[in-house]
Amino acid sequence: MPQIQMLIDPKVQLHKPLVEIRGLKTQFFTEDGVVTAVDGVDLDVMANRTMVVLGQSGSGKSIMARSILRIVDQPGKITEGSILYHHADGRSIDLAKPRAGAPEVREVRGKDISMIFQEPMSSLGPITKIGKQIVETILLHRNVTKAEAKEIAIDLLDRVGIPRPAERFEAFPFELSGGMRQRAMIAMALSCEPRLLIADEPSTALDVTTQAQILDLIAELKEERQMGVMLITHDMGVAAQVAEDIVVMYHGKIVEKNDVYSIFDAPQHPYTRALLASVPKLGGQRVHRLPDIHELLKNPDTPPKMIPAKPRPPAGEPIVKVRNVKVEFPVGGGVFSKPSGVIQAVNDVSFDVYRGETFGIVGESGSGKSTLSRAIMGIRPPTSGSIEFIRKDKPVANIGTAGKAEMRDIWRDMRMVFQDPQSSLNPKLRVIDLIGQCIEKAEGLGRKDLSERVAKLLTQVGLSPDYLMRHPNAFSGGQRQRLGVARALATRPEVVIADEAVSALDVPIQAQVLNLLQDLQEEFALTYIFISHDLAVVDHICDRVAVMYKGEMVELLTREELAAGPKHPYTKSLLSAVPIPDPHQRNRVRV
Amino acid sequence: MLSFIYRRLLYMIPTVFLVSIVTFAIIQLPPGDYLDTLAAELNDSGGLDEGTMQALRDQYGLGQPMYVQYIKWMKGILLEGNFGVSFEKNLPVNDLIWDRLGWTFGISLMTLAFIWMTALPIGIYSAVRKYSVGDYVATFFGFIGLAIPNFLLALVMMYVAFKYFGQSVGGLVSPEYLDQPWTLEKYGNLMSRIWMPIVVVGTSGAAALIRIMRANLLDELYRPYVVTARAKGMSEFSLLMRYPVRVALNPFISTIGWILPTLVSGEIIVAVVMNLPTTGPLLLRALLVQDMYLAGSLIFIVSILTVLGTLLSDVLLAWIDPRIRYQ
Repeated sequence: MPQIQMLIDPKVQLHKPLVEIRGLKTQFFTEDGVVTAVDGVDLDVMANRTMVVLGQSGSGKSIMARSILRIVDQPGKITEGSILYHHADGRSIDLAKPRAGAPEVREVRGKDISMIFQEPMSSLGPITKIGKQIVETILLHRNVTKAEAKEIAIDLLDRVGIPRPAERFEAFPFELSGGMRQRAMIAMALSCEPRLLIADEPSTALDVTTQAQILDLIAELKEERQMGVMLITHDMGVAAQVAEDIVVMYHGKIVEKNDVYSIFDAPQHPYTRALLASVPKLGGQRVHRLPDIHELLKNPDTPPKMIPAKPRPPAGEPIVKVRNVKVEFPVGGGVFSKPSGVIQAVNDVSFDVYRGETFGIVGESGSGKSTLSRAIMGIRPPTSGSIEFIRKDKPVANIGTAGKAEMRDIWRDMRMVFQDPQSSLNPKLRVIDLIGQCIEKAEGLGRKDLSERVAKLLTQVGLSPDYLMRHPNAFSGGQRQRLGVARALATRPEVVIADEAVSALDVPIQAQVLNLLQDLQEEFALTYIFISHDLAVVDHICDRVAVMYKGEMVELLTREELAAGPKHPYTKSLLSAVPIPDPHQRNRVRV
Repeated sequence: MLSFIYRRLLYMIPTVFLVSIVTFAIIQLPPGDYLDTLAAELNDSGGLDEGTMQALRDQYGLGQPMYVQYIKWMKGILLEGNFGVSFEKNLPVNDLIWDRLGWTFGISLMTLAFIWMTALPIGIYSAVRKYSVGDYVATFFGFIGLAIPNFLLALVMMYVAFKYFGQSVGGLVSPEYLDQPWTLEKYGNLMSRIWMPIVVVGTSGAAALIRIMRANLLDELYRPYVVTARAKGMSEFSLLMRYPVRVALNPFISTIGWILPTLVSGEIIVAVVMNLPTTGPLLLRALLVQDMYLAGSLIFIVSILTVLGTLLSDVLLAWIDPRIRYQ
C-alpha cells in the first residue's frame, strides 16, 4: 500500500489545540422565531485524537461541527463566540468572523479541515465522476498538474480500500455500493492532507459490517496521518469503539466532556446516564422494559431498578406458515425486449410464526428481509411457495392466491408499521382520519363514535386524546411513530409487521417505542413480525430470530441460542460487527 | 451510449409511421375535398360542369378509398421524395415548402437560443437569490410573459416599432429589399428586424423555463452534495455551476423536444400577423382550401422534426446525465 507523504510534522504543537471554540452560539432565524441550535459551546479540538460528539438528533452536534467550517445552511447564523483555528505555519484565524464564503475560510475548508457526511449517496455530486470530484479538490488546494492530481486520487482510492482504483476513478456515484461511496468520500476528504477530519454520522446509513470497516479505516488513517478526528454520532456503540474523548451534547449545550472510559464507567451528568441506560444491549440479562429517559431525567439519583423480563408464555399454534417462498424480480427488458434475467430477492424460505410471539428477521440491506415482509403482507405476492395466514375465527387464508376482497379482509387482521414516520403518514390528513380511515367505512362508524375510538387508541399508544384534530407534522418523530402504531392497531389485528419500525428513531425514543410495542403485545395478544438490521434491538424484543443473507434464511435461532453464540459463520460475523457500547471491549476480534 | 442511440433510432420508425397515418387521417377529416371548395369558390363565376369535376377528381385520385390515397402518397415520399402536388397552386409541394421550412426552422432555432440565453441566467439568479428584489422582478415579468398571448405581443411591438421608431413592419426584410439578391445590407436589414418575431415567439417559452429552472434549482440547492462541495473549499459560483446547475439542467435539454412543436404551432398566428415567410401562413391557407397534400406534407414534416427534436434532446440528456443511459 503506498504511503502518502505527510506535509505536517506530527511532533510539532501536539499540545496546542487545532481549533479552539469559545462561547459559540449558532441560531436559526425562522419565521416562527429564533431557534438556538448551538448555545454557548466551549471546546478544544486536538490533533491526533478522536473526539466523539454524542447526542440525539436536534442536540446541535451537527450544527456545531458545521459552524466550524461555516457551512451552516440558511437561515442559520453564528451570532456569538469565536472559532480560533491555528494554521500549521503558526498563523491563527477566527473562522467565526469573516463571511461564510470568504477566501480565508475557503482556504481552510477541504485543505486543513475536511468533512465527510452521513449519506454517501446524496453527498456526492450525482452526475459527476468520482475521480473528477476528488481531482477537483486537489487542484483547488494543491499546486499540482491535472495528471499528478489524477495519480494522487487513484492512490487515495487504493488507500481507502477501493478495488481496481484506476477503473473506479471513472465511475459515477450510483455505480458504487454505499460502503464504496463512503470510501470514495473519505478519499476525497483526505486528498489535501487535512489536519482535522470531521465525520458527521459517517457510518449511520451503512450496514453493520460495512460500518465496522469504515470506522476501522478512519481509525487507521488517523494513526497514519496523525490527524485529529471529530466524529459525530448518536450511536453509543460507535462512540465506545472509536473515541478517545467524548463530548455529550443536549439542547445545544455540552453537558459533559471527558475521556471515553470515564464517560462510560462513571457518567456525571444525568442526561449522559439516562442516554447510556436506554440503549438496548446485546446479550446478557433480558430486561422487561428499557428505562424511559424522562423518568431517568426526573430522578437522576435513583435510577429505576431493571426488572428482568417475564418468562414468555409458551408458543401457541402457528399463525403464519411460510413454505418454500421465492420472490423474483425481473431484470432489464423494455417495451420490446424480454427481461434478461431475474434477481432472487427471496430464495426458498420456510418458517412458522407462532401466535403471541415476536418473530425477528435480521439481515443487511439487500438481504431480502423487506421483500419477505411484503410477500407475507401480499403486497408483492411470492413467485412460488405458499404463505398461510391462520386466523382465530376465520378460515385459513392463502396469501398468494387470495382475491381482492379477501385480501382487504386479511389486511384488517395483518397490519404494518413502517420505518419512516415522516413519509408514511399523509401530511394532509388529520389524526382522526389518519387513524380512523381504515375503520370508518368498514365498521360504519359515525363521526362521534369514530372520534371516541381514535381517542381511545391515542391513549393506548401514550398520546393525548386532544391531538385528534392535529396534522402529523405537528408531532415529533417518536410521536409520529406512535401514530403509526395506533393506525396499525385500529382494526384490532392479530399480526403486526414492523418493518424497521424503530430504526429511524433516536435511542431514547427508540426505547420508548419498543416499550410501547411490548405493552401493547401483552394487552392485545398481538403477534409481531419484527424486521430490523439492528441486532441489539432484535435481541431485546424478539423471541426467535431468522437471519437472512442474500435472499436465503441462513439460520433460525431462539433468543437463548443467539445469546449462547450462533453457529452460522454469517451470523457470527454480523454479531461481531455490532459496536458494543462498552469501551473496555473495543479490542475484541471481528470475525 | 451507442446502443442507447441505436435503440432510440429504432423506436423512431414505428413512431414516424404512426404519425404519417394520423396526419393523413386528420387532413381527410373535414367533409368534402379540395374540389368541393373549388366548386364553391367558382360557383359565382359560372361554376364547373360535372364532367370537368369528374375528370379533375380522377386526375388527383380523390375518388379512391383513403388507404389507396395514403399508400400512393407515402410511396411518392419514400421512393422519390415527392410530396405530391398542391391543388391550389398547381405546383409540386416540394417547390413550395422548403424555402419556408428553412425560415421556420431558422427562426425556431434562434428562438430556442434566445429562450436559453434569457432563461438560464435569470432562472439561476432567481433561485439563488430567492425572494430578493431581482427574483420578484423576474417572477413578475415571467408571469406577464406567460399570460400575454403572443399575437397580442406581436401587435403591440409592431405598433411601437412603427409609431416610435418609424420602422416599416411586417415581413422579415424591408419592402425595398424584398426582391434584391442577398447582400450585406440585406443581411443587416434582416438582423435588425428578425429579433422581433424571435422575442414575440420566445417570450412565453422563456418565461416558462425561468419558472422551471428556478423550481428545479431550488430543489437542488439544499442537497447534501452542495454542502460537500462547499466543505471542499470551492467558491460559491464554481460549485453552483458545477453541481446543482448541471443537475437542474435536465429540463432545459428536454425543451428541445417540446419547444419545436410549440414554436411551429405558436408561430402560425404570429407569422400571419407579422407577415413572415414561414410555413405558418402557408399551412393555414392550405387547411382552409383543403389543399390536402400541401397541408399533409407540412404537418408530416413538422411532426418528423418534433420526433427528431425529441431524439436529440434524449441523446443530449443521456450524455449530460449518466443515470439515464442505464435505465
